[in-house]
Amino acid sequence: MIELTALKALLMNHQIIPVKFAGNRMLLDAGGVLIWPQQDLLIFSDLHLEKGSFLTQFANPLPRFDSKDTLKRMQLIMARYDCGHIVCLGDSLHDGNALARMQPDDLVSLNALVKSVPKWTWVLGNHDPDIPPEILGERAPFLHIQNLLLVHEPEDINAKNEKSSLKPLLSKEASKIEGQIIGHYHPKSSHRLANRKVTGKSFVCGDDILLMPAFGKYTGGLDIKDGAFESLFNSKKVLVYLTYHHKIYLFMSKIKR
Amino acid sequence: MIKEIHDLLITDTSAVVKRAFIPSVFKAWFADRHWKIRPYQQKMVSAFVNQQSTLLIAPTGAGKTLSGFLPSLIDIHKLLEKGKSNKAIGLHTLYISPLKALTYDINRNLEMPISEMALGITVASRTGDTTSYQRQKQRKLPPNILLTTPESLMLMLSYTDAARIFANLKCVIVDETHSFANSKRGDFTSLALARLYWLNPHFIRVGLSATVAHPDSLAAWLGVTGEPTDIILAKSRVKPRLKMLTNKEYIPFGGYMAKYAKKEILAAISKAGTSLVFVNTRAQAELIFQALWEENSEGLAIAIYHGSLSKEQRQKTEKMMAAGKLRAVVTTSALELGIDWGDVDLVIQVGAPKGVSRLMQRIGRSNHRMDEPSKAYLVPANRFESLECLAAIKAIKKGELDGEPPMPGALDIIPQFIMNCVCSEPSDMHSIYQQVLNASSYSGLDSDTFKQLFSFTQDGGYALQAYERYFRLVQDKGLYSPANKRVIMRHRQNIGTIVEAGRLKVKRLRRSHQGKIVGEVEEYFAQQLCKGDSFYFAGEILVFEGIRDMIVEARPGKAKEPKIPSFQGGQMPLSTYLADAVRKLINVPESWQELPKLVRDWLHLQQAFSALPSMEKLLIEQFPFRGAFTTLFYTFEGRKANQTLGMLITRRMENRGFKPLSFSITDYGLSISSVIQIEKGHITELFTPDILGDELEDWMLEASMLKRSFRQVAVISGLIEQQYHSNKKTMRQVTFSTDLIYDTLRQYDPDHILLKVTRDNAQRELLDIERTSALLFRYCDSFLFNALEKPSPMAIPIVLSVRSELITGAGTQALLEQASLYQEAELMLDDVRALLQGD
Repeated sequence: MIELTALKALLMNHQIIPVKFAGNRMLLDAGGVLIWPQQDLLIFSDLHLEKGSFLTQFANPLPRFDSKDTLKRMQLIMARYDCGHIVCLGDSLHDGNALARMQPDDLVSLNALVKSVPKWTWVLGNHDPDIPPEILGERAPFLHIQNLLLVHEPEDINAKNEKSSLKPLLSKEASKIEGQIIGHYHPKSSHRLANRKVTGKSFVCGDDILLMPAFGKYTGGLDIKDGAFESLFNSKKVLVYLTYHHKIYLFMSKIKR
Repeated sequence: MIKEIHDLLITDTSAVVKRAFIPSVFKAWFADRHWKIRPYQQKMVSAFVNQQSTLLIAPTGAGKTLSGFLPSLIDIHKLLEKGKSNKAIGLHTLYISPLKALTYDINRNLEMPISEMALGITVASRTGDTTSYQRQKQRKLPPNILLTTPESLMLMLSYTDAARIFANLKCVIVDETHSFANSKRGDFTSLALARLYWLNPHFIRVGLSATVAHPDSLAAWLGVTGEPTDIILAKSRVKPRLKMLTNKEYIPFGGYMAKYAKKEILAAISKAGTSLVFVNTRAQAELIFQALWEENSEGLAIAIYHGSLSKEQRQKTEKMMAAGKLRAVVTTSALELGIDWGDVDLVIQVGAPKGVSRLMQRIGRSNHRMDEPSKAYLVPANRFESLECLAAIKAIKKGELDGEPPMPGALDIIPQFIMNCVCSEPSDMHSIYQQVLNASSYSGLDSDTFKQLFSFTQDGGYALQAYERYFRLVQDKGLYSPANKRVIMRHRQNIGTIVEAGRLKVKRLRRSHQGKIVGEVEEYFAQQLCKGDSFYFAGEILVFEGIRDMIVEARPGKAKEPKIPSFQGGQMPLSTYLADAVRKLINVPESWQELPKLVRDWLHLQQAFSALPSMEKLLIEQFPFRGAFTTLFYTFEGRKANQTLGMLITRRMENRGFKPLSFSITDYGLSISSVIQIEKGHITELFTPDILGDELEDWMLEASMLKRSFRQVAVISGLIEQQYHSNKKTMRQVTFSTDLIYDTLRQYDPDHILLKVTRDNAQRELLDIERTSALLFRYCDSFLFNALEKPSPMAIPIVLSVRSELITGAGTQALLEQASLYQEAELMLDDVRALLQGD
């Protein structure tokens, strides 16, 4: 885990912001990652590796450096925080053939990252393709740590009926789930300042749900004003953490309901 | 060669005759109308007969269109008389116009002489609107005369039957030539002509143009490289009658909307028969239209017309115009080109004209009789603009025109062209390069750059990567063809040079979600709207309900202050000629007599409060404004140079800790807003003429302007596809910002050809480094710095300018810190402490 003085410096420089989510203290980094010091845990979300090469299959001659760039940023962030457990929260590979298209040296870099830490978990979303065995690391449909559920898409954790797909899988010993950290939505937010609008990928934090922005180089974002976000939150007001040019800022925002 | 001469002598004796012969049926038709065949029309017929490409420059209303077609009609008639069938004659004449609407009008107009003389010549048009059934018919049996747009022509050239269809081509007519050259569309057209020439070198080119400042460059553009066309100049002896029209009691200081003069404009419309009211932007069109209707107690038939209205709306207005049912149309440049309709006897230019040639072309729309003076009024939108209007009036009286020197062809079109060639037939690199060199705009293209562009077309041309499966072109014995059908389809669906900002259609609701599509607005504008906001569109007020399936839904309603949709690309650059003329005007108080009194008062006030911009020294004013410090530089160098200067100075300010926030430019000046106050002593270092190589690259590449340029380049070169809101699943996945692609390129492939093309493109469209350097050199030691307590009279129009270039630097950070719940975060210090201690 990163040292105190370094952490302070990042804080003063607006590169990280502390949050309290369902009673847990965490840090949000302007690069779009979440750090949970108490668990020595770092979360990336929605890497979408090989999205560039996927698109070039459709006669779009795009530069295919996105995976390289995503991996480079991952490496820098991991070096900064030095966490023991890395979690990738779904949509890590853009599609089922991603591995086949990946450059050999990128695969080597990726596995080097996985090997560099004691524990690496690929959380798989419902629609995620399997992560091929050539890629190292553990796979899991979700992680249940303390009172939080780390999962790609939100689960209905309050379902009274036993039909919730999750229920039988939950550890009976772990504490009751009070919050979920999810990916999938690629949130972004925009804010009016004086005579301009500032837009950026954002974390969105409600009472019991925390949305992560997408980390992948070629991922865009969906504005939180979009109706897709409506049903996710209990209350109208949420905390929005805007990332902008390597800094992160806190705003209060209203969700349409 | 010998065979050809032999054939000529035997079958086509008219080609050897030097004097043009006009068949009696044509002479009779002219006589019936009481029209005389004018000397230059005669010359056009001779030119054709002698196979001489020609550029005809004539003011509007000079029977230009007929002159263009007359030689072709005569020639086809002769061939038909000799017993050749329509089918055997094939596609004889191709007519290219910049507007779809124009091709339809020409089609109608040609039918008249053809049917009245019973010539039996087949005519058809082909544009984006032509049905596939029509297109099939045309391909099977090409008409003798085909009317089309540059994009449709390029599409036809992409098919495998192009050689067959154009085998008999004798003549290509390019209408409104002045509007093409010096634009990407012109470069595009130039390439299409080069391809035609490759397929069949036996046709001549005929250009029809309004009066321009540099006819020689235009003739060079029209011809094959190295072979400029002849020029026929039909001068009008009569100069237009121009007057400035304003409200005597009140002229605003700033803003671009000329609402204040609505009564005067309406009065002018009322006195005239039919008027064309030209504005510079679509937003202005909506606003002026509303304003006029507020005063329109007589209920005069006034319509609105601009490019963002739906096709149905526009056609409705066109029909009413042609039938003489309208008293006035408020329009943008969309109606600048085109054939003469009805009796337009008055042109009103609302808002500063921006260019003398452009103004002349607009004025030319009034009165289609060559020997009578056209009448026009100029309505300045603010006091500053009245200077520009007066300068323009003087220039026209003197007969002076302005025009930009020709630029080398845009590079982003080349990949499109390469793809177009190989879709038509397998080609080798060298022959495509030859074709490109034959297009006059590209005669200077070096082979290295061409090879890089070819490599990009083939597989993206990226360093570090070479996957065969991503090739768009495949090679066989040196001949290249498209890799698969998908590549061909994708190319054909995206031909063209017009890149539009993301647009959303607007649906005017009547019941629940049902309604008609009335046009489009820019996505940027739509995103700003909240439910209940109202905006002007297509002449009425619509109340925003929401965006559904990528369509803006709105209901007609009433509102106090509706918003005005803004559209990108609205601002035209001021010609450097006019900018100079305005500065001179300010420095010659005797000439102020011709200005409205309110404007004279304003100039006197400026002189008393601050100073008038002089010819030798750069006037710099500074004052506090809206919580920051504004420094204003009155450069009079035109938009492009001011933009470049703005980028350079704010960059230097950023480096020196002045925390610049934004800058805005007009054609006259540059205004920079910053957190820290600049002082007189700082100016010299900010104006250092040494733009060091690194500094240049540095600020150029980072600027958001470059990203905008890249977006254009990305679409035109075929890197990404234009259609952003298609419903196809795969398309949605493509819709991420080109900024991301640009960043990746800069980081991982900095020598990539598209980055060079982006810089070139920015230079063409947006910047002017040469002028900026000259400016810095001239003024770094020679300026007048006035620190003021508030904005000066002359500053007001500039600081009120809505568009600013935002700086994402320390200034924005400062704003973000202010705005964000920084203090709340501060309050969370407890948590922070706990967190840090708990570590």
